Amino acid sequence: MSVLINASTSTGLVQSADTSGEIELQSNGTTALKVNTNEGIQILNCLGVGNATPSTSGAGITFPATASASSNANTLDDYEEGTWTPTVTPSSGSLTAYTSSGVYVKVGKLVTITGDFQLTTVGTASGSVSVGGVPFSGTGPSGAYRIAIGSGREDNILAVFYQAVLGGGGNNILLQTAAGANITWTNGYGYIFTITYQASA
Amino acid sequence: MALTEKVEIDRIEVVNQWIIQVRRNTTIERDGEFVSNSFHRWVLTPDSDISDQEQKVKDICNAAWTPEVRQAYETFKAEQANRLGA
Repeated sequence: MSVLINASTSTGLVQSADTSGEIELQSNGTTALKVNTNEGIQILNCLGVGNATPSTSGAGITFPATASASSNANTLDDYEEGTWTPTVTPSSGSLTAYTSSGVYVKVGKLVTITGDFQLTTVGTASGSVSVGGVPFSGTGPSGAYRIAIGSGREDNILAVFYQAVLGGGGNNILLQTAAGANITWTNGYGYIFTITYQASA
Repeated sequence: MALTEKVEIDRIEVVNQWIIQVRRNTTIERDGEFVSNSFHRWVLTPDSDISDQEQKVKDICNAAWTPEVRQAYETFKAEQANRLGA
């Protein structure tokens, strides 16, 4: 490995030719890292932590595909984004057909999920709705019956606001109107919701 | 130039007593070089239908969900159901 000082472009450690005192780490003539007493440390592309291979697209921090959890409360140790598929179960009867989709982002232990489901053929479904399939199990205060509250909306017909409540088990969401009424089980109705909670692990 | 897609279950996590978290990783490669990936996740509980899960997921579920764990989960569900709005 070469170490070059006062070179304009190369591979190695390069000190700026001006009076700024900036030091750059270059690879094949491209700067990857800059250190400057006034501007701090600048990484030009992605930074891989925990032995993660830095992403070759965009600029940011690449965490390991499998999080390496830190016991230090001030350490950000995970980031992940992806999809999930909400499952819809009525408390009574049977739901014949529906479509659903969802996305999630996890930052540290904080998870935000968004989901929607469209009632295609309601069948005999009635009562309350339980939405399962969440990407991460949630946790809350010990013994809590509800651990997070978000919001939702019937978005096709009624444009009605709903509360989205993650149950104490951390894996099922209940949608109710603000007054606690159940959703409307009617063909063509569609519900969208979002909720933020703390993951169990 | 060949694009290939690799789909695999790369995470199966047992959380607390009865929660099984599963992650599917879809990776796109060009001539063997990583291009992009995406994740899809879901959670399974002892009352989940696991008939369409991959065998390695079923194996973990069946190992984790002992009769005692299943009973504890049913007890927990009953406690939850007794609360208003459950």
